[in-house]
Amino acid sequence: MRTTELETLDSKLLSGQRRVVYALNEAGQYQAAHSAGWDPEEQAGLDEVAWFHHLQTECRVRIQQGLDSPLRYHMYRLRLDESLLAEAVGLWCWRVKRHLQPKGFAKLSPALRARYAQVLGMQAQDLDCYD
Amino acid sequence: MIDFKHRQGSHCESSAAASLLAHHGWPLSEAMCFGLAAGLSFSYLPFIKIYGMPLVAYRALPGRIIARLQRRLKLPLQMQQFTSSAAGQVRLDALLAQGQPVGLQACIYWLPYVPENLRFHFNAHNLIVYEQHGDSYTVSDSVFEETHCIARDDLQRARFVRGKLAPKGRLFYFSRDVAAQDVCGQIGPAIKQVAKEMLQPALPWIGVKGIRFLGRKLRELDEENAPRDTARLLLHIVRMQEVIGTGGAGFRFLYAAFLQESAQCLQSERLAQKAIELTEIGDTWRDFAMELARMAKGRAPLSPRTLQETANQLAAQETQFFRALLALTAQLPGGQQQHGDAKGR
Repeated sequence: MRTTELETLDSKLLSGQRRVVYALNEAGQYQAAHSAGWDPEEQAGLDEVAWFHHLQTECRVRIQQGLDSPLRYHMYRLRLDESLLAEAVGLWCWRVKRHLQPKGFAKLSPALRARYAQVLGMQAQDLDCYD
Repeated sequence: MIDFKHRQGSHCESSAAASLLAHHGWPLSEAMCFGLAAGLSFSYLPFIKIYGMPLVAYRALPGRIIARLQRRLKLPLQMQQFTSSAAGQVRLDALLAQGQPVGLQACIYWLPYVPENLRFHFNAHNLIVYEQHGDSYTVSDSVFEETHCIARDDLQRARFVRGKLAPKGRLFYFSRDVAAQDVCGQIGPAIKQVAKEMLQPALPWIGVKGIRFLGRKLRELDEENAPRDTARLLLHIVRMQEVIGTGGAGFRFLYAAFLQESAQCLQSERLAQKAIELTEIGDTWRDFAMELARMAKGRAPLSPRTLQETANQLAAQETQFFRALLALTAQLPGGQQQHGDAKGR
């Protein structure tokens, strides 16, 4: 890559930040240059954000139909998946999967609710909200 | 008040090490730190999943870079982890009170100053804390242009998350100042370590074999997979290569910068030539990323065959490159002696 190839992109991904990349300058010497983003980078970064957004919206509909628990909504809101959530709370994955079902969620003990809330960085009573 | 100079870099781990080292009297560049730590690699590990996607890494495992650098340069670097978060905080405060800048490992998701779109659960982000004002700390995060303030509770949460690569409050600092040393003798062995790892013949997931493996996996994609899943996988590879601070092309440019700097240090014309060759390989990686993104976004038809061909071409280029580099290290200072490289990993 050459410093002349750096694009000036109004990057949504970097939100106004510039990052450092290494590129050859006109003298053929490597230098750390500021990059305001690059199209494939932008696509890939924003796609992952959009993916969690999509999961969240889909989940909200399923909760309204009684097919999913608000816990799953919060999991996606915090960009976690089942295994990450299980590791973070320190439970077996199968238990977390059960708690992600409406039935399992309803049966959660106050102690477990508090643990989930702590990991998700919220109050235990807010676990039921999903807006 | 510590006179700590914030420096921006492309990769959090090597630039955190470089900034700390500079503060303690040895201004070594980020590229040099990365190269001497034998940071470059490639691995495609389908059995380790991140967000349901296989791990694609272009460098040594998180934490290895600092550890290898410490071993190679015999740095007086102290590392500590904690079982209790309270103990971790007390230790951090005590070190800051002594006027020590401290490197920390933390989960990037819980750092409030990181832009929303870049916040994901990656537990091995590195940053430096150098000042404390009551309940807040001043952070020098080398990925960003500016320094930031972070509240005590936020920092504690980020340092003590659980899960894969859990930081367990890991902190590192220099126990004394270091004098600048001559690194000429270390360059050869460090390059050799990378070249050997890239050319290793045993494991199918590591090095150039890993690149071919990735190609085979891409070849298996077909219409039967849900288009959304295919797109996610392709963009995931781009993310690993370009989005997380790699300095471009999955660390290839950063390593080329190291080779160029080493060439000047050793007065080696052939090594300088290698830096240019690696730049060309890096450009091919960038083309690969562009191809992946275009196919994922439907701007070009999905063609598993083309993707595999590009991956194989990259594998072939890198094989040739690292073979030549390995041959070259024998002529560099420190190349003849048998170094304990196996242990150095």
